[in-house]
Amino acid sequence: MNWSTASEIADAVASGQRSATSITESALARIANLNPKLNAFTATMADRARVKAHAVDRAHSEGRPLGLLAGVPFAVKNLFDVAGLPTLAGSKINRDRAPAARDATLIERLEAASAVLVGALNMGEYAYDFTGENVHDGASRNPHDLDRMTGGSSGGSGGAVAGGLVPLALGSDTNGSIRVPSSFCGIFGLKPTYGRLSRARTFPFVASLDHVGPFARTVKDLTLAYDAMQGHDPDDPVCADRAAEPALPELARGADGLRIAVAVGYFRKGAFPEALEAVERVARGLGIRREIEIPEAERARSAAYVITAAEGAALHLDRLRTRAKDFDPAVRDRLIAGALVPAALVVQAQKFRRRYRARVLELFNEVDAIIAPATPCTAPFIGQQTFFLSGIELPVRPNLGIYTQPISFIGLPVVAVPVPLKPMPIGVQIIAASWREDIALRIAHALEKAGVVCAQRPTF
Amino acid sequence: MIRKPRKSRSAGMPPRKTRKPIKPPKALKRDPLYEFIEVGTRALNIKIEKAWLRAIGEHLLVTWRHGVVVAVFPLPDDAEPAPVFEA
Repeated sequence: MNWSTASEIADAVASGQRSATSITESALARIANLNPKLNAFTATMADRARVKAHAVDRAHSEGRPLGLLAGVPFAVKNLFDVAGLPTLAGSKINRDRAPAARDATLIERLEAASAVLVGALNMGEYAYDFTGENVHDGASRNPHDLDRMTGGSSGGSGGAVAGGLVPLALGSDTNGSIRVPSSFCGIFGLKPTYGRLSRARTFPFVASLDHVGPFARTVKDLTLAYDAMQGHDPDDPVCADRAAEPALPELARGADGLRIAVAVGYFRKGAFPEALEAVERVARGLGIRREIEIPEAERARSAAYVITAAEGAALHLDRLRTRAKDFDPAVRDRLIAGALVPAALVVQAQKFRRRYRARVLELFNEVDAIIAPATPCTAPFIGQQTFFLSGIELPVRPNLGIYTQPISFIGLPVVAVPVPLKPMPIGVQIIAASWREDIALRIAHALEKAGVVCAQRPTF
Repeated sequence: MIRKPRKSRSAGMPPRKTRKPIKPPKALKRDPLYEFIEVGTRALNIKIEKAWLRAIGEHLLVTWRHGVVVAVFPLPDDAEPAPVFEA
């Protein structure tokens, strides 16, 4: 069952064909066997997983109803609180924290759907990262080429799902940290609308930009997890007071009748040929010729950059004062620089944000979805410091999110879909209007059914 | 007795043992960016090491450049910021 989807596992458990316990034991064995290569997990929760799996099996044997994710093993980026574990957020400093007293809301919701938490996943320190590298825990490794980055900061989430260790994982996305690893690892990722899914009991990075969401190897699995996690949560002040809007029943509608356009201008600048090829394949698969310009996208990326630097620095100010040497130097130096950004620029960026949002939302009067590259290139090599964008040599770490930042900046929902190029996959963003995750998921599902996008099994 | 000729010494130069390479005044040699970082981090009570200055400076310049891109965008006086953003 190591490449089985979450829905296949849930069906097998619900029908009695497999027990949740046997599924869990297989997952734990797989993690023990493969994690030394991928470095995706920073903690496994074998005892807890066995207890939960046993409870699912007992419920089944007693004829009680099971959730839609019955027996599905999943793991979470280690910035999610897991009861009994200190919430590392990829850092050395947080190892001194007391163990979390309670799980994050999204873990509780997935377990309420009968899924089984098996562990916590590697990530870039304090989520200020696009590479998946970590000086404390080592780099997450890309299952399609162990010498390459997973992308970050949810690197372990990308590696664990793409490597077949688990069919489902959770991550966070402030500027692209779900979409970049999805792209590099060749899997599906959903960054929902800002405020759609609860961030309660997750370690923050940039409160005004932080999102959380799922990774999976099929659109159906992504949607199952998304549906299971929806709903208002008073524990997260940003979580919208909206009723759940299940997207699974919508998938079968496909992309017919939807108005879709390809983003041009900024979203072509700097793209490597493989990124353009991936967008072209998706556009051809959907039969779309329409092009659209997202106005001020470049400035939006700049504004996201400024807000991230300043808010991130504000979050960590005390740790910078007391434990600066315990940070990853690459993160520390960026945070210290962020502490010195003039407040006037940050306020201006927040004002621009509202203007930009209004202008982009106007586009959705003309189209239902916009297609754009997820990353400018396929996964760079681990340790690679620079690359060339539009002929200019730039540092890799802060520039892998050039196409994701202008979108998360205004909280639009995005499904990252994997285009199986050789030798490395690459992702494409399907961007919808706020609160229309269903549209992005329908398009992703149509592309998957047509064979244009898929999560390919690696051979590591 | 032939006396060994003395090496000529430039007029006005200090004796050899006190001569040092001419350095510019300290204030002129300091990079204003690094000075800004040092003053700013001192104000925030963040202790930094000299070896960090270069990387911090590079990040700061990049962030400022992004800030300038945003700052030149014309906004009316009544433009509202979005500190708590609702999509």
